[in-house]
Amino acid sequence: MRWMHGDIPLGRDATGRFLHWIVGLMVYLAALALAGTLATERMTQAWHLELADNLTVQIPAPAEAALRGVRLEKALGVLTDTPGVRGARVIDDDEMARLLEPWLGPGGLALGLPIPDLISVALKPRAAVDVEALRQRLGADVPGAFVDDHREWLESIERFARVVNIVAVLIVALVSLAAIAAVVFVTRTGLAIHRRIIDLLHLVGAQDDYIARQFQAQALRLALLGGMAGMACALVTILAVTMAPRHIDQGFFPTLSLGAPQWLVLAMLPLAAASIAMLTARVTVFRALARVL
Amino acid sequence: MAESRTAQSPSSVVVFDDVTVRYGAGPKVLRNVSFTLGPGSFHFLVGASGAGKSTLLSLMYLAMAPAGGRVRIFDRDLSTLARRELPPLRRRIGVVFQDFRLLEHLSAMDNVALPLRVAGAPEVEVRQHVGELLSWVGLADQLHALPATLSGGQQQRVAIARAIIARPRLLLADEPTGNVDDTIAMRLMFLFQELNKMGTTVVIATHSDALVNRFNHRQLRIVEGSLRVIAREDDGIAGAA
Repeated sequence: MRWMHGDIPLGRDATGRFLHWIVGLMVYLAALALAGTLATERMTQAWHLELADNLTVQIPAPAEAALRGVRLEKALGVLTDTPGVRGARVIDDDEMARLLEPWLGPGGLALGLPIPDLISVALKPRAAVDVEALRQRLGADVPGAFVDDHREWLESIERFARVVNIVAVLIVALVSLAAIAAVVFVTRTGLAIHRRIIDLLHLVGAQDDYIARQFQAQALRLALLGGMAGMACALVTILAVTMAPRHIDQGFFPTLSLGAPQWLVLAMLPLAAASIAMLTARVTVFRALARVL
Repeated sequence: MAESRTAQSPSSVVVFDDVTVRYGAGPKVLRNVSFTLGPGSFHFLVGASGAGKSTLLSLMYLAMAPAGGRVRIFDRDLSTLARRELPPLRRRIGVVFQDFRLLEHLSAMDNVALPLRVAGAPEVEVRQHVGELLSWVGLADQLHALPATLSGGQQQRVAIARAIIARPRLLLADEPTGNVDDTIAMRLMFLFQELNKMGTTVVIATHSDALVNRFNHRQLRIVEGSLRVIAREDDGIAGAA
């Protein structure tokens, strides 16, 4: 691997010294963008899995408290008779209090607000429940009952995830283009600075590939160095961002976290940046040398 | 296929046919130059300073293309060669530049090793051959010295060692004895003659009449851009301008 040291003293170039800083910054920004989209995607999938086999039925509080139990019984009857429904249970006061605590504080139920009853409906896996028909039957038996299949909410979340995804792709693309431009600039500068040496290497019989290998090795080394540093900074930032909401009430912030596959994708970023830098340097050298004898 | 044939037994090493060179829109530096150098021949290239000796050498070591005419090296017409076909030809040509062109950041050993390394020779072989050659030119104790720490004569010997390390079939030397004393100059000339005896075609550009007169070789004399061949003995030249 002697050629890694090279006949061209690229390591002494002032411009080359900035390349690892540039690539480090690019990898940092790309990692944050990618982590954002991966975490959003993971969160969306988790919500999808959690909510896809569930419905929630809201039964508004009746004017006469005595009717509350009757209305709930009727609703449960309709629900359990519906094909595809695995089970239905009324959210009891303790659970309701816990759900409302982030908004109303402890003892929120005691405030006497007209809070609707909630029935959590579990569906059979992959059951095709006719939600519209269910709404009509419930509406007929329990006026004011509202069936929430979470579809609208999930669609909003998915729209949000798509936007995050597009923004992340744009950021990664822009960052990649900027990194490529930096490598092209540094490589062309190196070619100009070492023109005399490169001419000599040609005259003693060097192929363009021999010269390109030295530039690409230098780009690979610098980009890998910068990429690792950028990735390390990005990891600290990502951990800080994912840890911070744990000190806040869970109800306000969704859990943004990354699984093993997502961490693996992020870990590949420095390698990807180094590969892009290496390839860019190679192509730049070949294109430049093609114009000389 | 043609290359493999010429690599074994080129019928001519260098052929210039009506070659003209001019830089930009300036006057012609070389005009209608024609000559042929056969394998194993030895020539002095002479002419006044600025006559075009270095330009003629540049054409032969494939650093430039002529404005007109044809140049053939090892039976290959340069005008028909692709870029990727030039390095194999250049590896068969050794050049001693007037300004040495040593790489300042490399040791004497690494400078001399360049032609072998670009040709992909194994590192063990490179170190062995380079060490032997540098010892032979009297630089055994300067293997790891940087060019800046060497005298002019030592640098010249490193440049010569680099030119011959790969056993070129054509050796071009631009004023190779210009910076050394007479003893070293004679030793270098004997080295070139030894290489020539082993089949290397040698062209030495010089403005030293003493050197030309001392050794009995043909001369390629450039006068006002035109080339004239001055024959001494039959050492392989087949044609003249």
